[in-house]
Amino acid sequence: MSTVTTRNNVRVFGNGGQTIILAHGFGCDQAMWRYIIPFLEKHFKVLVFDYVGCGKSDISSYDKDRYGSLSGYAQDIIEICEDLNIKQSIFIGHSVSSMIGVLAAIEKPRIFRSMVMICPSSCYLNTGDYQGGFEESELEDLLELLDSNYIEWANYLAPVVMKNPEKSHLTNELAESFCSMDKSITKNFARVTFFSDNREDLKKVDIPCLIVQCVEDDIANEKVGEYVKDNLANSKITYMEASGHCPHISHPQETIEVLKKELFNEKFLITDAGL
Amino acid sequence: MPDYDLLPCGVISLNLNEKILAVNSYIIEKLGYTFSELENTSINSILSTGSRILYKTHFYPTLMGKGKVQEIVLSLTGKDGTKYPFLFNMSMDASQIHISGLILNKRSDFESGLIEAKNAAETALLKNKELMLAHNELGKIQKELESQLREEKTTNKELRILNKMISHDLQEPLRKIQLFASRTILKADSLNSMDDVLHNLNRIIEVAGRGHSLTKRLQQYSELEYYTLRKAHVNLTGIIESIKTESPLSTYDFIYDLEINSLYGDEDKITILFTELFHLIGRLIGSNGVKSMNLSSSISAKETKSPTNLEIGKLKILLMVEPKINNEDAKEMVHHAGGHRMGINLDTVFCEKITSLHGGTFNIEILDSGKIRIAIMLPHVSL
Repeated sequence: MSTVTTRNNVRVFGNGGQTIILAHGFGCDQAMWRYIIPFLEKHFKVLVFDYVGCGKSDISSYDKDRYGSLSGYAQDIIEICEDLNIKQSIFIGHSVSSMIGVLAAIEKPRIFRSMVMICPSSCYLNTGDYQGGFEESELEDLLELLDSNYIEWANYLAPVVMKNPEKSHLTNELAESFCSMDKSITKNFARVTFFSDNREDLKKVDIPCLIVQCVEDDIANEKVGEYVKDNLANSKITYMEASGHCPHISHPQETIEVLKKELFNEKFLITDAGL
Repeated sequence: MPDYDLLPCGVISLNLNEKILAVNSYIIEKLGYTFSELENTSINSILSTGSRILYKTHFYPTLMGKGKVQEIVLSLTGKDGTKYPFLFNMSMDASQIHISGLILNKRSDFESGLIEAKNAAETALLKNKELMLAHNELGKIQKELESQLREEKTTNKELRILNKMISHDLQEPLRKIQLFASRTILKADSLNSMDDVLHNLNRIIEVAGRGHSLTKRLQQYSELEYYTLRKAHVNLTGIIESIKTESPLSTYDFIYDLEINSLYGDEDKITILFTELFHLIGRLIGSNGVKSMNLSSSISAKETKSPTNLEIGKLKILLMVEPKINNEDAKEMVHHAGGHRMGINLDTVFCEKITSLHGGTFNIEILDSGKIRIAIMLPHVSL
């Protein structure tokens, strides 16, 4: 494996001609896509990865300067695509990954043919008339909590090495490492995520973008999702019945239906416009 | 069935949409709500902002993926806005999420202190690491400065020697030229003194030649400062035999005892090295004559293979010269050797400079017996 695929623990499933990239959000790793991958891999080549400091990424590759802004994370996606020679993929980003995808699409306009943004926010902070949902001081509470949950982060340091391919071990290993994160990197990722303001970047993207909005999403509320939709040149928004911030985990079937509709029925995500 | 309201810990039941189905007295009393105020509201409404973010982005997906999360710390907000840190365990089944928790008020203070100390220790470790890096960097700079200072000192020493030689050695032939020229002018009008005139002119030519030779050597020496060596394997006996004929030592036989006859260096400069070495020996011996000259070479301090896979060690070239000398002369020679005859001449500095340029050392000593012992150590690269 090359450095890039090792660094980001890149894994590819399925054999379809069209590639779909699944990018996890803050606080999790590629394991969060496990419920929708079985559907997607029947039709597409599916690429999943972990950001550095999450899941089974190579933690030694963490560079405070590079990952001091979302651009560094966008650079990882660009490098993965270049390394595996992937062009015109469909990008599905959850939460902060929606904006990481936007930054990658601006820097490399041909990298994605369309994007799906699950619970996106272009700015989490309340600034002026814009209500992102959070005050700056409230973020300190999050950083303190990251310290208090030291037992949770301790798991990250000792990932189980699989020697026995027996299935139960595999299951345990997956379960134990689910959404594992390094504490100090997570703290930096939290700052980068919640203090970023990508509202101006939205205007620079003209590929088809589907916004998937849940009800009662306390991280990215409806108004925030609609702001993203209104500021993208070629976008539509789908309101799910699912509540919360992670519909692909809490309501995978409904999420799959939304994707089915836009991929196969309305073909919004595989239009040739802009190619 | 236990009465959950009597339990000394908090219990909360949620549906899969995270709405509160049941909550026991422990929670209700701590937070100051009534059950009806909490029933059917989202758990998110009583989580503090930071807890809500962490719960929604990390613990909730983990709970969905693993079916449980344990020993997690989240804060609930009371009706009056007070934050209460809880230690929770969560699990879920097909229809509900089950939460049990203990308030961490006092423990939290203690843990906060520990965490603060841990963070301070981690920060100190990081700073220490940075300091170590800075210290190493300073060490490197210090070594570089010391090395530069040493080079400066060497250059200064060489300059002092050169100045002395120019003022002493070059003055001598010039003074002699002046002397012979004056004598020639005085005797120029006398036919009888024609032989003297010719003699003086020959002396002038000879002395001028010495002066010319000296300035040429000085020029060669100063060029060494910016010279880049062109190294190759050169034949040691070949070099010595080629220069022997022009040396004052040419009439004496060498006894060769060479373990190694190949030397890795710049052929031109190694030739100058031995030319100057013979010059030096000739100067030290003066009119005494030579009884024997032994040249030996051997490998010492053999080291492991270098990165270029060439075997590297130290080549030691040892030249022992035994002058025809009586005890008194030997004492005189040793006495002089401690003074100007040894270290202030161009031949000596030439030998030191060329060996140094090759990464080696040059050492000369006059033994009490009057024997001259010259040791040249050079890096050795096998053929």
